[in-house]
Amino acid sequence: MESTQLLKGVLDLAVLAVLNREDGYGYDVVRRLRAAGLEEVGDASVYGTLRRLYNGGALSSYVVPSDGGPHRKYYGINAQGKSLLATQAKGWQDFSRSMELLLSGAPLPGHRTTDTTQEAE
Amino acid sequence: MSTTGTTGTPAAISDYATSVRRELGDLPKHDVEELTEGLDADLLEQFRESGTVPHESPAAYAAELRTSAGLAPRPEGRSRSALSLSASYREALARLRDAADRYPALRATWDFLVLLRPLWWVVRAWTVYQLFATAWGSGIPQFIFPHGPLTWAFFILCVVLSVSWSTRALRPGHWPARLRTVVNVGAVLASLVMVPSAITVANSTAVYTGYTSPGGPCALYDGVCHNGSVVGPLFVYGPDGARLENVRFFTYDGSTVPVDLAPAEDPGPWVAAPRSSPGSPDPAATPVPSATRPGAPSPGTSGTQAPRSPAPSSSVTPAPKPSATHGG
Repeated sequence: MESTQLLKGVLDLAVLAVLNREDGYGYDVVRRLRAAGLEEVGDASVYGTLRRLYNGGALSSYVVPSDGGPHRKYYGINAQGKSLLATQAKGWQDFSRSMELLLSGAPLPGHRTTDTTQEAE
Repeated sequence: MSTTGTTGTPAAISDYATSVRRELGDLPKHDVEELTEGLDADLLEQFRESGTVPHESPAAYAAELRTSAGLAPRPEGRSRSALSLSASYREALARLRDAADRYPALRATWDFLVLLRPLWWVVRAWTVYQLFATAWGSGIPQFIFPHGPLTWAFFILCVVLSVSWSTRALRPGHWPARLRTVVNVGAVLASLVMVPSAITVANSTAVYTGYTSPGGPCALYDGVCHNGSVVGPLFVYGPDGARLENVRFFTYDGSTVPVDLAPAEDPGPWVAAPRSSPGSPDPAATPVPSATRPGAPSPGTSGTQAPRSPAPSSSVTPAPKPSATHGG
């Protein structure tokens, strides 16, 4: 399965989780995501996600001048972002448990196994 | 990379960032700024780590950027030549901003121009006001600024609309970009016409119609003023009430004061009052309105008026070195 497709669905959550640890600028967030194992994350995807989360009110931003180079735009998570992070984290954990259950082959709760051979007779 | 800009940014990074901004040129300026603010720094850091610019093309990079930001993809099939006028305009601005980032002097100029934007909003409002005022008036600008409660109210309304237009407070977001561009370009062109013509015409109109602004037209006029207004044509009478013609006025230092004298054949609103004693000057004689003068003879007939005085009254004309002259 294309990991990039999976990543697209959880990139918001991943970015919020990174910024929940510490404020960061665009490439810094990319670097931390890659260090966490999401090596295929595209930097433009992260920058666009940061901008969308910022416009959605989940992030704050500030510009830090740089000596001898272009200034950096830092992002930080705010209260709304933390709330969004908690909601999305809960959703991810539920989704992850469901996937683990499906992949484990264990009986599904509340589902009665039917004998298709007997029904056919 | 050997080529670097003045900010230490390799030219490859600047070029790449400029190309990305160009690919976003169809978006509103505000969106482009938000999307690409800090882009140069991120690209530079990536460049210092990997030694290269991003492997994808600027077009692909921009497409990923706008998609992940939740913005609509760039319309298909639109080559650079087919970009709307508005997009080309924003693209040019993006290039200018990029150039300004490289050169501090340009950056300062750019920042200064940005500071002047509110002034442009007022000028644009004034241009619209002038267009309407001219259309409603005589076809030429009469006043540079509003001159009454209604015109002031209309002007203020224009200012509010102009500011709201630029701050997008009242501008519907779905307005076609081309329409917005047409409005802005039209305002610029109209301003280039209206500002100089309004100033020129309003000044000349003020001088020749006696605009009563203290220190206004009289401050620029080399002639006779009264209560802040340019006076003319003048009807000059002597102490005996006789109409004086071809008189000249001089200042204390002997220089001539240009005076617009009424033509001799123009009787004017006043005619000489009859003398109390024919043959002798009457210092108390004054002109009286022609409508109140009983049995007034036909205007302009010399025989019906008092003999002309040999010299203008000293109360009218100072006596400079070149003595005042009068004609017959």
